[in-house]
Amino acid sequence: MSIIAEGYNSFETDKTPEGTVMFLPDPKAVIGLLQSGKLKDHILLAEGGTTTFLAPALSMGAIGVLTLSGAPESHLGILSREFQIPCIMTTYLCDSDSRYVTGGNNGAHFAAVTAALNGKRVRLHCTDGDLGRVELLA
Amino acid sequence: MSGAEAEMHDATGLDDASFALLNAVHLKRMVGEADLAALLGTSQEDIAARLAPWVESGYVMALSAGVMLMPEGTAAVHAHYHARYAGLRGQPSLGDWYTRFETLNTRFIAALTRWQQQGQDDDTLFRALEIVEALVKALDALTPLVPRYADYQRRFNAAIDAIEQGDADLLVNPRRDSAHNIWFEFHEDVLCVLGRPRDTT
Repeated sequence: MSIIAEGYNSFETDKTPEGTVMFLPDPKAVIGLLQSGKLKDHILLAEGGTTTFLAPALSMGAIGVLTLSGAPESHLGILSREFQIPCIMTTYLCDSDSRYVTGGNNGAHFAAVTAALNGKRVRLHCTDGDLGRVELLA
Repeated sequence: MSGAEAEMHDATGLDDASFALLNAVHLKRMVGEADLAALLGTSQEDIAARLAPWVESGYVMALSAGVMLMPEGTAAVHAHYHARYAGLRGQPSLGDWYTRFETLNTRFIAALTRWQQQGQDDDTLFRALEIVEALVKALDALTPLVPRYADYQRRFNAAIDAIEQGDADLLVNPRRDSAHNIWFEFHEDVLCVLGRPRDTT
């Protein structure tokens, strides 16, 4: 198993959703995905636990969520647990020392994580308590 | 709605009824016509009729699960907030109020997380409701400035009453008018009134 990224696990679940990571930078991107009818083909990647524009995707059955910042104690974390959608937050790359810094300038970190994950086919593992893992699929 | 009418709304802002409708869609992110009707105290047929021109003009998108705002609709709602509330934004008392709200918000999210993750016991429920009741009381200071905030008090009180009568599902169920949904909407609303971006939670 090739684990390429990890982060805070919103909740423990045996679900192991698979999909192509899609970065959603703004509400327009969410609208485009919903209009495409391919929501369930993707693991959604968003900047943080405050990206409230993800809510329609959650209510329409998103299969998995990654965020670049934010914690399970957030509105998004609460919604992921209620909808039982696996969600890994403040995701970082396993082959890099770069980490999200609260209140810091995280632009380069976000860009690196997004570039490494966006478009990749992955499987989420959320069985290990506080730590969620992102497996790269061939 | 004709193109000319849409431009008129862009230039002059929304009327109060249109703002109430589009702001409800904005705050709920995605919502069905029945829920909008319940929220705005009207019939589903009335909501459908009022939404139709906004869908036609591209301000609102209709999907199988409900309606949501398109960027043009969001811009119109934000423009209305700015026009209506920009005068309030410099008041120190409002900024101080929001600072105190942030503390409540952190406590509320922590309480809901405990409720979800550590067992749904009466003590956790009681503590969560105490925080909601504190917000309802704190809103008394805002309703003279933003009278429509009385509706949040009404909705919070309805959720509290139902929870106290045994319907604990109304604490956080995202598909009902739960305390968390109302809180989430109010948080978005007050940030729009203040003209601030969302913070960390």
